[in-house]
Amino acid sequence: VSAETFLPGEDAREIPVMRRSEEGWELLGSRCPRCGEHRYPARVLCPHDLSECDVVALSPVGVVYAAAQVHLGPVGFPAPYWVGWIDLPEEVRVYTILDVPDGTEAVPGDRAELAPRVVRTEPHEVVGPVFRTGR
Amino acid sequence: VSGSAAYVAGVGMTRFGRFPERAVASLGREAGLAALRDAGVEPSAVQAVVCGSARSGTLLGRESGLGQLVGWELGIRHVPVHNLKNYCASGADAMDVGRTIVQSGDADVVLVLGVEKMSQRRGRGAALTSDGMEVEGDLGFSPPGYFGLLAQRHMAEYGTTREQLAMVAVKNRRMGAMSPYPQYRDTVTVEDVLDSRPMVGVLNLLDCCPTTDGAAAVVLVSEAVADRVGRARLVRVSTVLRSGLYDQVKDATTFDLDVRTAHAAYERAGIGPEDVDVAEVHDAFTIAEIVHYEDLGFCAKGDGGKLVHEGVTDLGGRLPVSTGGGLMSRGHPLGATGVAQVVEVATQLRGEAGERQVEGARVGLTHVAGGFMEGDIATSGIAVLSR
Repeated sequence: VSAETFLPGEDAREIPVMRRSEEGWELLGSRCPRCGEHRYPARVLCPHDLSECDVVALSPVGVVYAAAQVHLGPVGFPAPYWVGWIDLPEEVRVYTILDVPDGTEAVPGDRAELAPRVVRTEPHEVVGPVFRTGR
Repeated sequence: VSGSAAYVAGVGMTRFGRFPERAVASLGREAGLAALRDAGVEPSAVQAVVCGSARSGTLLGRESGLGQLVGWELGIRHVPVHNLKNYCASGADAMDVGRTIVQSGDADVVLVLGVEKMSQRRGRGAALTSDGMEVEGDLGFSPPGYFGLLAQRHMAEYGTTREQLAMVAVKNRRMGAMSPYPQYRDTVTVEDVLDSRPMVGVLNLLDCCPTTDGAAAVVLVSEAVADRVGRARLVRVSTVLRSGLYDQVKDATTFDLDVRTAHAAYERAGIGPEDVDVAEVHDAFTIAEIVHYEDLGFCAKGDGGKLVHEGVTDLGGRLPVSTGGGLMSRGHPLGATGVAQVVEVATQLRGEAGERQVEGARVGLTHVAGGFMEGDIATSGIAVLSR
């Protein structure tokens, strides 16, 4: 991430939501070394046993739990755009913006694949863990 | 919990609406004065002040000390003043802390305030109720978005219809027109709701509560005071406040936090959901009221849409909900809402609600779901009131 580009919530979270690897962006979560529970966004301590969690890459493919088209959004997010909850195999649920192919709608059960892109440019550029939906 | 009780001795509130020309001190003073006069209490008798307000820092540049400000306006000095910020549940928090102080024996007379002015607003258009959602905030998150997603799941899983969502707004706007306090005092039809501007998913503008200025106040007194003045006009109150559960993959059509908080509230009050005669719930969105019916035990899981469809929660039904117009009509001055709900339910239990009176109401409930944290609701606040 360049000096001008930020990740979502970067100024507030200790652990970033994504990192760049050789293959591209990875979505980051935490995994408790004792109970194995994953969390997204990543936590420092496991809420169950207060173990120090490992930061791990989460699966880039999940399933749409719910999706909705936003017709009137907050400042900085020109509508229409899609948002949704994606369930990942690690049993975490990711809220994010969805890229829905033209002529289709996102519905529960759709496949969703991580496809990060710039999601806002004001007040600074933010690259988000966008998911692309399909059947 | 001690065996002693806390009682609502007086209530007061401003009309809710958009009053950019009014100072926040003026709103708080009007509500507080009305509550003191209703209770017959002099300012010098108030032994503590608790004030809930969520956004006075962001919006007004007055982060601290709203309780002192309103107390100063009302001649209340040299007492403990607690200023509470807890999302949309700031007023419910103030009720919980006020009740705790009274029951602890630290004070016999406590003034509980909820104050918010939202028409004066810097950073216009930014979502205002999303503290704790820093990541999501950079990803186009807003509360309507959350409830738009929830609505999709509820409709798919339980057959809840678009029209049933609209019926919540129609019902609450009709009852709101019978109260002097709401921001909106006109009625709407199902068609109006369906034809209003699309917001997120199936939710339209009239499925959402407005942002609002307003203040509400309650005078709480102890068992000792009740023994002295008699209980003729007093309303007994017990409260429960809980933080979120933060589970990751869960059934999004229910708020497990509210389910558990309701259990605790019923247990503390010694009643069950079947005993409730009138309720105010956090109808920030039409789908939210339907989910709250289910989570509070007013009906089985999934039957919330039917409950409003069959008129059960309408005036004249078994359990009228949002008789004060709810957030839909009254508006939602964040920190004032939890106290305004208590004002409405106490008014109902005293039999003083006029045209919107629920006949014979003896037990009432108020519910607020405040804020978001790690995808969950951050706060649940429930009060049970009884005569």
